[in-house]
Amino acid sequence: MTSMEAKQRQTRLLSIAFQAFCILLGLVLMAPVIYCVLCSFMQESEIVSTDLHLWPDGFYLGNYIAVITQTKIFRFMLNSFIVAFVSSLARVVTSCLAAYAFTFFNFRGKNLLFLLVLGTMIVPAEMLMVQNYFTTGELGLINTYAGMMIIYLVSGANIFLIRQNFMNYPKDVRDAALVDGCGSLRFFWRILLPMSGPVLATVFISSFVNVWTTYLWPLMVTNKEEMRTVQVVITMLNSSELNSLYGQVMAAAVVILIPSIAVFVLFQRRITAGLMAGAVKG
Amino acid sequence: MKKALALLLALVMVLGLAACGGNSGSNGSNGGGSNSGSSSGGGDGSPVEVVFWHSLSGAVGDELQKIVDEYNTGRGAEQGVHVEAVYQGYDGTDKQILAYQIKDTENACDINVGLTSTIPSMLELGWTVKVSDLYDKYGGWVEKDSFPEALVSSVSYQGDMVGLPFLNSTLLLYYNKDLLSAAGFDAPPATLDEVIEYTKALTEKDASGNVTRYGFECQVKRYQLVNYISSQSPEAYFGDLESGRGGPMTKVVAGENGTLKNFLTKWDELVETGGYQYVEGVVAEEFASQTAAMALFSSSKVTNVLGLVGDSFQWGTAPIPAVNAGDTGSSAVGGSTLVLFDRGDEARLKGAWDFAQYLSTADSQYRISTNSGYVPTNKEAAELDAMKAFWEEAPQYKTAFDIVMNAPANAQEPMDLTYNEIDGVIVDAMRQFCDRQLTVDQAVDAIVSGCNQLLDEWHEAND
Repeated sequence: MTSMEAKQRQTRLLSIAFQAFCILLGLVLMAPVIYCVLCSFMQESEIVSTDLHLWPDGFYLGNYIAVITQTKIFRFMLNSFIVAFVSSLARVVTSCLAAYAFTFFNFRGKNLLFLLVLGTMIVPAEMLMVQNYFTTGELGLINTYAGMMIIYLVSGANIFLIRQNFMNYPKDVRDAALVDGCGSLRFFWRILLPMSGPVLATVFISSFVNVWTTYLWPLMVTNKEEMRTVQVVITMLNSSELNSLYGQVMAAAVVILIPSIAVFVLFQRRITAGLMAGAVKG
Repeated sequence: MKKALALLLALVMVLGLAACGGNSGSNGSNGGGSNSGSSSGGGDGSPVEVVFWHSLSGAVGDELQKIVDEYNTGRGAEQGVHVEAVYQGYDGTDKQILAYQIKDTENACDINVGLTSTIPSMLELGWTVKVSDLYDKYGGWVEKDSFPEALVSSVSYQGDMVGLPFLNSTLLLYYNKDLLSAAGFDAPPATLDEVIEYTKALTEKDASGNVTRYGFECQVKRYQLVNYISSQSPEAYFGDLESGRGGPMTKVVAGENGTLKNFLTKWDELVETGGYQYVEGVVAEEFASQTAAMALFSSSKVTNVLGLVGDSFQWGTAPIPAVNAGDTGSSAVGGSTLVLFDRGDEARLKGAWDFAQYLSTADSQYRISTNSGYVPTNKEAAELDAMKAFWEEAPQYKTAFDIVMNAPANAQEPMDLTYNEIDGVIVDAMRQFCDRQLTVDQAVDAIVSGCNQLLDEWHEAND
């Protein structure tokens, strides 16, 4: 065996070991989700058994049937979808416009304003929760979709991400476009946005998943069953003091995971590209 | 280009507007936060709308919904009342407080199921209407004396009946009859001395000395501890001012009256057996899987345990074993209460009062009790043939009712103002005590001084 072959063999072994480690790490991270899926097919007696019981005895669908027939899970999913979709769309619009101004316009107080936007990222959301509730209540938005999404319409983190991405774009091109008679809005719409697909997708998808999984705010601003979101319902299922409903909770969790997973699987490449694009320019 | 941008913005606006109107279709009223009286029917012949927030899910939640539906089509229709039941878990109390803070009558409820320990907080809301005032003003078709004395006491504050008893339970001993019988015991333990004896006999260990089955399981938290204080005598209270029922509690008296030390002295011997599991996972499930031969937990879990155990073994329920033979108190009556609110519409308040009484009838209580394990709050439920037959078939349910019927007035959970924090102090101290890091006297001191400090802080902030 030549030294070259030995080196190649060593590289291959290292690669295999590294990939095996990554797979193992992935499995460890996914273990709770995998166990959740397996539990959703178990009967209660299997779940509470003291013996190690990782694999269901059979393909028991009772938990899924109970979740679908005894709760309005599809209505709750629709509520979550409306809130997550509209909020995310609005975030893309508000973040793009703000980032455009912060990147390409010069005006007094720009840096101070931008620092204020960044400052919102370090204020814990929980600190604002009660005051936000008072404001939302005084606006008459309790038990409305608008009330559920109002605090998600603008995000400092998203403005920052898109602004960093826009800063990659050569300003000379914009200047040339303006000289050629292209207006600011036209440049934004026809040139800048089409070239910013990955970062816009990142903002939309991360925002969608973030709002989809939100629990506390929808719980606070909704008192009616038909307005609840899936996260609130899952927690309520889990808090039953009288019955063991672990199987049903797991089944419901699996059902509501599907949209998030679908979004991630479909747009995984775009998310990565968007994050990378925003990361290289300070 | 501008057209496309305008279209996008228009789409967002349309979706936003659609979202604003999210709940308008369901109840015909929307936003505004005003007390428009949309539910104050009667004038146009429509029934008054009563919003009832509750905490029941699963089979008993379904049964409650049936009771509501029957009320709406029966007595409610006659009285011009329609009830909308909304499951809130135990978030209802916090949600009502939030709604009160912004005076949002439109999105608040008329009746809430809240823990009895929250009664002082509820009384701070201007909307809360005491049940004693409702009896005085409107009279009642379910009389006050329909409720056992201990339950009336559980929902009273400073002498006034604030709510109606609802979903009440007490601490029980659950025991595995088969295991006790195999160990030579034909009755459950009646005192902690007997618990110690039983625990030694029932505990199983493997060859390495690891426990494979505990004789007894119970993590002592606030709930369990106050039960053991009140069980010692009808005069034994956890805190001053009748444990907070005569006014805001200022200090813990279980230290100075000796009940806390009595309990811990016996518990110390129990810990020494090595067969006592003092950290609970999910206690009902652990009892059902025979990880422990005996366990203490709420009577509200009887239905759950029946389902979990099935036919795997015989089991029973009994009053909690006394600290000392001859103790004359009782385990505490815990649970929830129906609190009524006046949202500025007298017709709605009267409707809520009528429905709250309907929930307290013998028949309603029989149905809720037999689907849960909560004791029927109406004494007359015990006279129903169906109730008797049910208890005959499943005697585990009756133990709690017998305890509640005979409990003295002091057998209550305290209204201790900062119950979550007090629970934390007790959990920490008892854990250290069971880990052998605190002696009996040190544990007494840790609990009393820890709780008193919390009470002092509460008074400093609120008086």
